[in-house]
Amino acid sequence: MLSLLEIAERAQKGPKMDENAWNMGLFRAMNELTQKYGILYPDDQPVFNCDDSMADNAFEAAIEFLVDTGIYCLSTGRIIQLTRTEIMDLIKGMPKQYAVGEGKDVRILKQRRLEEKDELNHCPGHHAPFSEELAPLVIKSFAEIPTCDYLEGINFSEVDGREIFGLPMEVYAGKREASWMRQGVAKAGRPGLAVAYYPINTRAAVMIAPIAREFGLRPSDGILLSVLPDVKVEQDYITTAIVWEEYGGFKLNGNGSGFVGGFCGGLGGAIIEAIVVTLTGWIVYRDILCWGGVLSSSAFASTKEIPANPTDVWAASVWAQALHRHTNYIIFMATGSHSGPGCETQLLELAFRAISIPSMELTFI
Amino acid sequence: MTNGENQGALENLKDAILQYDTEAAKAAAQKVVDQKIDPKIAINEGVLSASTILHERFERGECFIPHLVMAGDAMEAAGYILEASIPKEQITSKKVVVIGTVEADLHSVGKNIVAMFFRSGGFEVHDLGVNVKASSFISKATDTNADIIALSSLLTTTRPYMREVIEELESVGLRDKFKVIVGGGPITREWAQEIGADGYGTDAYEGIEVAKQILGISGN
Repeated sequence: MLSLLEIAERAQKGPKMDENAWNMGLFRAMNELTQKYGILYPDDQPVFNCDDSMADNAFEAAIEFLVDTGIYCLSTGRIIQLTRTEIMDLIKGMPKQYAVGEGKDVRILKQRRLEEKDELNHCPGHHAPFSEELAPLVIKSFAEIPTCDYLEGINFSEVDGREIFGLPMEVYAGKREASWMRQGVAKAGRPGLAVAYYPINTRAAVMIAPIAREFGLRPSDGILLSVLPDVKVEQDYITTAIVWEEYGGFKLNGNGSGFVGGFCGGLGGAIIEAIVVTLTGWIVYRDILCWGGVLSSSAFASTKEIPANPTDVWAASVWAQALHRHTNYIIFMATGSHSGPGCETQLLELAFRAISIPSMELTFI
Repeated sequence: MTNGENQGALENLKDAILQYDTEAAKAAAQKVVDQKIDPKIAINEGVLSASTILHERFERGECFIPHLVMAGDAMEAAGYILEASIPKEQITSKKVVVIGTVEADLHSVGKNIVAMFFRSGGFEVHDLGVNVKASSFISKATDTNADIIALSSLLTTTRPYMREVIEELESVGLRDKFKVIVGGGPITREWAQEIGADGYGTDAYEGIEVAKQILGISGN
């Protein structure tokens, strides 16, 4: 299996390409693959995909993209090229399940199957900014929920009463975040509960600094290392992935998503992109968890209410089935919504997602 | 030429842009010039009116970001031909936008959409990408004689880098030369006021309108 060092070297030495050329090349490739593999919403308008061949075709289209087009490294402007054999070898190397946490708080994360009796994994995230006084208490409250399997980190704008601005403060804030997380889970009586660091920002120093067995991140904890939209990766993330791989902590891809209306094109392209970026998380960072699905770019352009779209649910089910049928990847879906906060469509959308996520064999986040 | 023929030429120009066809847009623009239609009218009715339709299509999910890129290419190509036929003393230069995601932040989706909206709205756009230092924004804005510097951030902890751009502009005596607008997930109107930005958009649509307002450009 290709090592992360080999990936880092290819990101440094691969063929050079202008970012705009990559973006438009992605669009052309996704269009061609969508047509070639027939990744289209069926005429009978199902909510969930019930056609195994659709999932298989979408997976094959994603592999073809990775082999023919590759992965773009934003920092170097170079393409990481891979052969089919290398990709399939990497996929075979994915763990079937993964233990996070320590002692009595160890939790096993694995793929779910329909009609499985085990409980869903619940992994709350706290990506909204909290004050430093509230942070450990918020973590404590969530850690007290017995079904919580690990906690994702918090964001904040001040530490020790000072604004987080500039690398020294960012590094310090990263260390403080990890220690607040540890304090919070300890206060809840679950000191072994795994925490996943939500990086203060994306500089390698800021992502590596919180590693510390006693008061920071342990090898049983994790970090969010996400693939960027449009199948792009970045050197600070690769650097961090190499350090974390040696340390032993788990890594999480927060962007296994395709964006309908983005450079991937329409719904079919978004499904293929979602599978590609999910696989990229494992290939380039060794992420063992991924949350994703299919999102609408128009939701990013406007703050108007956007009702849940059944085609997005169908598309996400194709993404999930493709990965479950061909890999061991442990994938999640968020119960977040596209709709504006507090509106009726948001409540409907959240309810719809809460029902649909287990139906797609997925786990909550 | 009859009014009907002139109107037909303008429609052809708009259609070429709406079909994302650069070559057809160039041919249609040349025909407009050959028919001696006022190029300023052609820019407004043939080129810029297409942008309103494109933004509506995008909102309805009928076209995608790459379509906005291709339409922008077609608009630029047609624009060069039309502008070349305007007497020098009557040329009003294009408004220039320098856009990017601030230092230490790699988020690009929202910024890309805003950049494409600007471009298909007839602006000259210089997209510096993500993780852009204050000095790079200022250097590019100076080199391109920009009208607007547009800053994006998706992290609470990278918002201060927006303020840094404004403070650096002040320190080098260039604050009055450029309008600064800000946007992104954690950005609020209050934050924009606090750091002394000239404008703020809650989303891409509002961002473009705010930019037009502060530059004194009437909407389509």
